[in-house]
Amino acid sequence: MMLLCLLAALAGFAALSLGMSRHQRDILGRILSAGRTKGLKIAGWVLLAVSWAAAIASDGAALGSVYWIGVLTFGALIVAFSVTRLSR
Amino acid sequence: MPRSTSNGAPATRVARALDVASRTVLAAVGGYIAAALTTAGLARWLPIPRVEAVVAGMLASFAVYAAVAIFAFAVVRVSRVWFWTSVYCVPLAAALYLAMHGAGV
Amino acid sequence: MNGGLRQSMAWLHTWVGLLLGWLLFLVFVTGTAAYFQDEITRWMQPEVHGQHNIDASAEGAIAYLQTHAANVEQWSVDLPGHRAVATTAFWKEKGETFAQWRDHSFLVDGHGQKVDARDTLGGWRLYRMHFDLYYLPVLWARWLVGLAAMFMLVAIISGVITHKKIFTDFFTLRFGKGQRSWLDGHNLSAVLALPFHLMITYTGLVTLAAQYMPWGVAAAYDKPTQYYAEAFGADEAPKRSGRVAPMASITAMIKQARETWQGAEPGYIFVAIPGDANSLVKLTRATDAGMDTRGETLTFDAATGVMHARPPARGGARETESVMVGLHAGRFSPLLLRWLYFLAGLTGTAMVGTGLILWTAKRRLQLPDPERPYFGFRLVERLNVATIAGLPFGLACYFLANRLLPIGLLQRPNWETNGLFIGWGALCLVAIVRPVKRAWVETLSVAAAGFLAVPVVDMVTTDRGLFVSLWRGDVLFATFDLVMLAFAGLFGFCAWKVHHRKDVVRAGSKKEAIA
Repeated sequence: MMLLCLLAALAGFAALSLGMSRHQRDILGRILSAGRTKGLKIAGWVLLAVSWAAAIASDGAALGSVYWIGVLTFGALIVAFSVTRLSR
Repeated sequence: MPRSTSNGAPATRVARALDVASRTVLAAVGGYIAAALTTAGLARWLPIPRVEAVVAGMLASFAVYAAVAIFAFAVVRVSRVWFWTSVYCVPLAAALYLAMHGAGV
Repeated sequence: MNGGLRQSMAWLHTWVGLLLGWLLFLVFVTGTAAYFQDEITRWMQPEVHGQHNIDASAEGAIAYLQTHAANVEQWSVDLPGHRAVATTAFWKEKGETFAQWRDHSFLVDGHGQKVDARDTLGGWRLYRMHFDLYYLPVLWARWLVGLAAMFMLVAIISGVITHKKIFTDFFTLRFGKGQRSWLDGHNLSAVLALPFHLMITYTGLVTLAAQYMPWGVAAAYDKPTQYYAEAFGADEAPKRSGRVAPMASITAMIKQARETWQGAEPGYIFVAIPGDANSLVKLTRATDAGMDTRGETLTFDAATGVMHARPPARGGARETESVMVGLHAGRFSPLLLRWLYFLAGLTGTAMVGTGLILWTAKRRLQLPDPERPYFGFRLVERLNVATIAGLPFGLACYFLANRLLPIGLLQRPNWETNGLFIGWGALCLVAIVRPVKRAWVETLSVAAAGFLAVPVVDMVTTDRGLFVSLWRGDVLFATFDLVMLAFAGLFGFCAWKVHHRKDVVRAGSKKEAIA
């Protein structure tokens, strides 16, 4: 469950970062259509919610939420460094 | 760019410095006074056991402090902030003084 | 939102951030380390063996006290938290103050045996330095730290309000671009751990709220003592009867406490007038037994072992306070979450460090004469070197002092701490006398060497070196040494980066560096 929490957070942040035009340009080399961008943003937020749900399912509402916030920081950090690596 | 104004005429530089100083004093000292009065007011008047009310006041105080500090830097005219902070603090202080030393509210 | 607002907020953020930045750096570094304070203490007392065992520890400590301190005023037994092994116990004789407790304190290991471990305050010293600082009167230190925390709260909120850009810059980290990179690093470390930063700042203020905001007590009570009696229980001392009565089994009382608390362990035992028929035993729930860190205290008749009525339950406000303090200190936290706390703490440290460097990076471009910066610029530059490289080196010295100081040294714990400041002070000197770029390279290298030395010295001076620990599966000792090596690598990498850095700041300049 904790692993799912982390994976969902990573995927969520990855989707959110690709939903930003700057990173689309830097990573993909082109700007995605408005519809796709919107889809990525929604997917990102949904995945973050899934991540939260997984944390709560694993450790309860209180402890799970604290875990989730920690995992968010960790996940966002990984995505940020990956974005830097992948940017051209 | 905080330094971008330093090229301005001396008069505006002094005016800006005074403005910032005034906001800083208001944020630091005014914020603390507002927070302290809020804590005292909540501790005295919240309709829960007083030991709980004291703690509730403490918990809320830093939010009040932060709010006043932000307010001090967010409003265009600094005199307005002085005015509204006084409007909040003075009656509260008066009521607390009366409650503790006067009629006993 | 207008230009003026943004400007005045930016002014506030820049200058107060600069003034309090060095202090915040210390608070973040020591606080981050304190998430592992029990582990650090264990590493700093390699003589203590055995596993965490509350019953054996309590019995061992009480038995020792019964033999060696039968007729004193009170006994205190500080039981180990779930990550610790050693128990610290002490007694207080008539007329003594608690400040004298170290004169008769002793240590009990996980088997309940008294051990003669080296005298140290271990991770606890770093935890206290996080808000008490050192060499300063405690009250002043806490006001200073509170001021820094309050500013940080305002900085976080104002940052979110005014810098909409930090969210559009999310995930953006551009390396090797001078000021731009430092700004990216500062924004990223602030935003990524934003919920943590907000939580840690607000709850940090709450931990010391009684000092910062005593006005509620003043408004609602005639005397502060009345408030403390209501909040923490009236502590009327039992009267001596003059009759001797042996103490009932402490294990039985602990068992009863566990049942009352649904399995939670006690963390602290207090015995008043031990040996007397009127003696009382108080058991306080362990601070790490729940997110609400302020545990309940149960009282027992020492002679009979009969439990008194439970104190009334806390209301919502005090429960909230207890959870906030718990969230801040993270004592409840399981190991995985503890590492996340540690990571978030490092992110905060990075936020403060990059912010401090940003101040100089921004201004270096605008120096009227880059060869001869004005005094304030040089001061900030030097203080940055002294703090960012110096303090971590001080920590390495603290650990080294623990291994290298003679075991019998008088006031040994204080000398360990002096070691921290001596190491730090030495790097301050380097930062002052050397050209600034050389100062960075040299201090960072020294810090790397210091951290590298910790596992090496550990290996030489104890029988619990890295290879032995790995071989025996001693996870804690092995991890500590590996973390030291990781920090050595980090500082070495930074030194190498600075050494090879081209002067990107002034593009087109032929000069190597200001050095």
